[in-house]
Amino acid sequence: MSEELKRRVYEILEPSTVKDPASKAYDFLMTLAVIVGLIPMMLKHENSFVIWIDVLTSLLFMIDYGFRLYTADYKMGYKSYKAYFAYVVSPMAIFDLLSIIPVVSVFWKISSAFTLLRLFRVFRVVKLVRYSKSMVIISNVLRKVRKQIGAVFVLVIVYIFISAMLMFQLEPSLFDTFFDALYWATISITTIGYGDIYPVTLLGRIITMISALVGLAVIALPTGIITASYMAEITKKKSKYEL
Amino acid sequence: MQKRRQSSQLITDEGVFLDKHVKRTKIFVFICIVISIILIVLGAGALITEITY
Repeated sequence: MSEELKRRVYEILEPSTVKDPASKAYDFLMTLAVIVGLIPMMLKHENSFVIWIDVLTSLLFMIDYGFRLYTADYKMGYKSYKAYFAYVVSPMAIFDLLSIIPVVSVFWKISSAFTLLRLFRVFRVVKLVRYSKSMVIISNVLRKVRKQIGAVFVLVIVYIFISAMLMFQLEPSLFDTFFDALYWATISITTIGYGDIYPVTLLGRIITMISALVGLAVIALPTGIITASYMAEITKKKSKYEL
Repeated sequence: MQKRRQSSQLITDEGVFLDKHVKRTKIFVFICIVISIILIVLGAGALITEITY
């Protein structure tokens, strides 16, 4: 009986693939809880509605985490206590746990330094990956190209540091700290160019021009990699249905 | 009087789904709907309160 109940709980928790009304209702509830749970982050003033949203959504996510832990052996695919440990350290379980952390600020009055815990609410968006087929496709795509994206990211970071160091030495009057130079390099290479920090010397301007041109090439690389992988994923799904 | 156990069977493209406890499922769906309505009301209330602040 307990095993039958556990199996049923697992079926409800997993995104519905057959016409199971309980599973569909649960998917809808959790999706709504994630979206409504993010509303407090869009508001400047706290009111009683915000407090109740925090309480209700945190409770829902705690219950969801508890049930997912209870059915971890079904999720991981093997009956063993190791399945529970494996589930706890899996990426989605970690995001689920991080999204519960804001409950601490709801039930215990804590100092303003720890209100940063409320920022963990943003991790709740990751939960939507479970319930949206589009986000499943995107997460599959990103997982497949993570090494290539990682390599480009390292290249970008190295270039940002090099141009920041060069500008920091060439035009020290522009920057209060090295962090300002990093900020300038990032804004230049991404071609955003706020204009709050701008070079005045000839060499500084040459480096800025090179940064902008390098940025065009480097920033476009991840777009090409992700697009190619996305097209391959879509084509794969299409041919699977055609077969 | 013999109680007849109700079950519901749906045949879909993805497979056969057999629900052995229809009443339990209906209660669960009802609870989900009630909580969803509460969430929608709270969300709308928070947004309206912010706009009218």
